[in-house]
Amino acid sequence: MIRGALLRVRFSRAARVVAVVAGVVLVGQALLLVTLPLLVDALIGLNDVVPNATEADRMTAEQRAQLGLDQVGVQLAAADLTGGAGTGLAVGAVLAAVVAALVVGNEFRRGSVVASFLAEPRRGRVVGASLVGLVVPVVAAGAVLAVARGLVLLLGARLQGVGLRLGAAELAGVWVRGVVALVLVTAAAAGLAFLVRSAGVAIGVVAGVAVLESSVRPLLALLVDGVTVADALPFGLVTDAVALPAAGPQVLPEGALPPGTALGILLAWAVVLVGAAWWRTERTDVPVRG
Amino acid sequence: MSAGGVVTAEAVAVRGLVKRYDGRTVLDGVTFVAPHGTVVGLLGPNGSGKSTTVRVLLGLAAADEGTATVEGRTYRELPEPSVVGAMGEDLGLHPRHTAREHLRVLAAERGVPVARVDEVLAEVGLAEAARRRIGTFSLGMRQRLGVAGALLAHPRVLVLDEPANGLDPEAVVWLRGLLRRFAAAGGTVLLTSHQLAELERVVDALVVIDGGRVVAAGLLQDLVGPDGLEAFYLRVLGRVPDVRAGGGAA
Repeated sequence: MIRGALLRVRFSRAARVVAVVAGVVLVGQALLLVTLPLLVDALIGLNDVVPNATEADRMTAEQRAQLGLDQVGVQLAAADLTGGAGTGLAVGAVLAAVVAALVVGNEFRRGSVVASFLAEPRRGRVVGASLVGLVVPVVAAGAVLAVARGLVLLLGARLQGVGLRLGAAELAGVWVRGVVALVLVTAAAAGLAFLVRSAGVAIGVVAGVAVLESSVRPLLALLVDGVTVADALPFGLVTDAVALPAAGPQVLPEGALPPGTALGILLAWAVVLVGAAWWRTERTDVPVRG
Repeated sequence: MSAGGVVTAEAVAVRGLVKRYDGRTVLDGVTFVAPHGTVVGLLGPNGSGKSTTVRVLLGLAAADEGTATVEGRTYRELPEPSVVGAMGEDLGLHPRHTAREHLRVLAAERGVPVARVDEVLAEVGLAEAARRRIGTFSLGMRQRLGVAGALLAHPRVLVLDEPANGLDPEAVVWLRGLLRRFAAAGGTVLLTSHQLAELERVVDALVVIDGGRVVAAGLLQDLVGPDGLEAFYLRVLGRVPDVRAGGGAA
């Protein structure tokens, strides 16, 4: 059953397309982060050619210094495979959730989930096999991204002539927590898709939560001191899970949760959604397509 | 053919099946059996309850009352679900997958060796099209692929919903031969179809459902007279053939 689930993901064109987009976006983001000071210099240089072409020369020395790769926060943001540290929204986590929702939702849309239920009449096991089928490629993709972003970080450090301020243990911790966070988000999204039995609805919910978080979280952080209910929303939890307290306020905004707590709440999201999906799948009739 | 040590005469047994959706009764005490080595036709108008009966038999829907068993066990209780090969109206085909990819997934889910995929593709006459995308297939080729999926795990019971739909005459003859050989080897086929003329040539027994109830069941030769299955079917449903209109339902 698990081999079948892995093959379904492997043969899914939608999953392949989103995986490529995720790879391009996440590696591109890391390249942008490690070359920011050089880009700012280039923009300032552009003003000499075309007067007032950019406003980059208005940046203070302090602002420019904060973009340097000698900052722990920037190194962390470059290394973070979820793409969330320092940017607010964990793009990698959103895309992982979209892949899970697409793969599971399409099984219901095309009716191919029926073949799985015929092969395994204890339908809850199909939910479990699908989760494994999604989690394995996510872990593999996470490992590849960790290597890619690590190499980009080393490249950036060489370009800027700075040393790594993140230790090997800290880097490994960021990557492991990043992969765990991606796995939990994937599981939660797959659970959601099994629960609603529709790719469209599941992706709508994922996109809605991402948009809601990116607007509500900063707003509540401005209005309320400390932890708010918005801090328990999933994509922000991914960002919190990879953050390092030592990395400074720019990557760990006030009110954010410690990594362990963030992962714990993410785990709770995954358990609740997968549990509800398992219950519904096991206890209710398989829907008739169309 | 034993279930928990008890030899069962019936490969498929449906007894007193009741199914309600939102308070509406769609199956009202459906009862019939399909003995080993037979092809049984399940007939009825659209919405009569055929598909719901099959869904309950395959464990996709729960019965409110009664039982539907394969070799003495409900589908969920089968120690090895591969004993049943099923092909539904909903084939679950992905247009971008190749025929081989589609069957490879099914084989992996059922623990069937990959080598069987090419074997079954040859059995249904799709060996040449194994690497073609399903989206380019004709309806008949899709039906053949559905049959291939049902045959993949060497089942003892086949449950086929409209398998002849879209098949050309040559393929209909092929399917007829395949089903008859399957039954002759001791297998059991439960078949739904609206193609009465073809059904008459392949089935041993009939079950006619209308309004969620069995209105006729028995061996083909006992039920159908010299005027054929179509006349019997219309008569049993209370739609008397209109001779002036050329045999259509009045």
